[in-house]
Amino acid sequence: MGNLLTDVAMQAFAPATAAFVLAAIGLNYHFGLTGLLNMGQAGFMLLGMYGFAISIREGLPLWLAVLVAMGAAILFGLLLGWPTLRLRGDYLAIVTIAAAEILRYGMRSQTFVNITGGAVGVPGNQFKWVFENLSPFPAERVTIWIFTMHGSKSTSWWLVVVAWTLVALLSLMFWRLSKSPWGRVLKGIREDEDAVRSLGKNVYWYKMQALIIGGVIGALAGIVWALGSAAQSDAMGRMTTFWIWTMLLLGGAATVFGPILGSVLFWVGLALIKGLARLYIPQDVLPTTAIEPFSLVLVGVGLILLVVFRPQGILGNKKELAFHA
Amino acid sequence: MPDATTLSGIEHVPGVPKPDAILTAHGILRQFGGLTAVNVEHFEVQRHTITALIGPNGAGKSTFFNLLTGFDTSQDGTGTFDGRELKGMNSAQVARAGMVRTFQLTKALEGMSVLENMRLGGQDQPGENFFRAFVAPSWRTRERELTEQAMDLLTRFKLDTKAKDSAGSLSGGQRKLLEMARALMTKPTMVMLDEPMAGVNPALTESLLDHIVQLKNEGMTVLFVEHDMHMVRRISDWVAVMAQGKLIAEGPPNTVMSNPAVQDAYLGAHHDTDLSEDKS
Repeated sequence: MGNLLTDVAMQAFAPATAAFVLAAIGLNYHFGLTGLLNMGQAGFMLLGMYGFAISIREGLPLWLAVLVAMGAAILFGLLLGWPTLRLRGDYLAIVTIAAAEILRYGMRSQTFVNITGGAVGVPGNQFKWVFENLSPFPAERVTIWIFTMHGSKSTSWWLVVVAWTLVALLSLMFWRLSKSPWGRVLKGIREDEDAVRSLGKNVYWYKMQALIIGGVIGALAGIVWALGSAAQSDAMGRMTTFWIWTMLLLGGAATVFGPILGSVLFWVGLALIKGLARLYIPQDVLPTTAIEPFSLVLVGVGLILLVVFRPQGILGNKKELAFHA
Repeated sequence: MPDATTLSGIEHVPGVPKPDAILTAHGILRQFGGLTAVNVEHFEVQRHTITALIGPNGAGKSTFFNLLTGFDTSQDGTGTFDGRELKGMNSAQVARAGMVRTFQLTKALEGMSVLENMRLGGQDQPGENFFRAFVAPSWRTRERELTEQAMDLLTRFKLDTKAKDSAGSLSGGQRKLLEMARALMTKPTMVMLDEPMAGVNPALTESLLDHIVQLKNEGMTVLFVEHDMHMVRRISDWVAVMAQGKLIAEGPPNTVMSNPAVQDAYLGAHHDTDLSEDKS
């Protein structure tokens, strides 16, 4: 039981959690501020992690690899936005989910195995070392208070520090932008884009900016994720996108702390359910293999309850943004 | 009350040229499949006047409005606003050129406060640029000016006490007022009102009419679509009548309604004759 609680608490600040916080911050620009239905956030993450991993493998320096990842997200955003942002919202949803899946299938396809590594992806040992070598932490397991993690490798204290610093910076940036005249134009577009047009704003261009910025933050999320495990395309499927949506809506869209709270609650909740099920539900009632799906079912039930009883999310403002029945 | 001096001596025929036209449209055509929604040969709006655009349901008034303001694209024809060619301009460019519109179905931005609605109408706010948005000192001064301008307008429209409230909490009539006030934030030279009186209670109608007259007194030109002939008669200097997509009559409000073509359009050309004689 003590072990379980330690594990669950560690989920709260794990690099994977931070990666999802970042992805949700990106989605917050899309949906929270602008009302864009991006159903392909995992695609931006995918580009981030592959762009980064392949660049490092091919010998580029760290900073350039990060720029390549961000550049790939910008191109992807332009490509998706160009035909769809002139149309009504639903089209963006259809195109983004399809494009993200095309990317994933493309990356795992045997055709590009020399570049992307096919279904295996780019193994961690081919690209993570550049980042890990920068670590100020010792290259061994380090225990801080009750938590034990490696100092520098994979899911490490080093990655925790970097990932959460990034979360802090990008949350600050979201706060600044959402309270600026720029953010106000985006919120206006979310409410009614024709009204914003009638006031002389170039709606298409603002939507494009939002799509690209949220996507670039998604790419950073992909890098953080990859540094904690590997660049493997199946980690970034539709399910990932839906989880990011769940986290954003759980915490509260259009809020600064919503993505953080939503993501932490999601991962902690999932770990807790899994741990408790393993401890207290007998094997013959719920076999080990069924624990994962079972906990996801509970997450789904939680999402339904959320939409019914608190459509604006935990931190959200119902008057500003909520699910409408 | 309507000041017709600038319009006296103009012939009462559809498409008549005006001495000082701020808006002109020529050969405007819009078809939806086989239906010709708008087919206006020529139309001009005199500067510093209130012009009403009336016509029965389905006459094409709102479509014509959308075409003029860049919310829809005409399949043929040209137009000018304040000497500038309208063709190829999108709705945002038209608004920046000084022709701002409101909507028949009011578009209050409900998730935002009344004051934020107003500020959004402000022009030349450097903070609307992504990079400048990070540097608050670069846009704070302009923000203060816009807030001042917004509060002045809200006071005029008696919405100042609601400034901090969510626009979604306003009544239908207050939303109309907010939309008009927000449009004025752009400092327009011409205001296009699409059914400003629709769904507004009689008490508020009076103040809305006063506000529209006030726009003219401040030097703006107003073109509005309206159904209620009492309202049209009270405030407009000039009335243009559309039916079946065409401009069928023009003239001062008191004479235009006695025009047989207008009566035909509203009541049907053959309302007192046998249908078998219908030649059209």
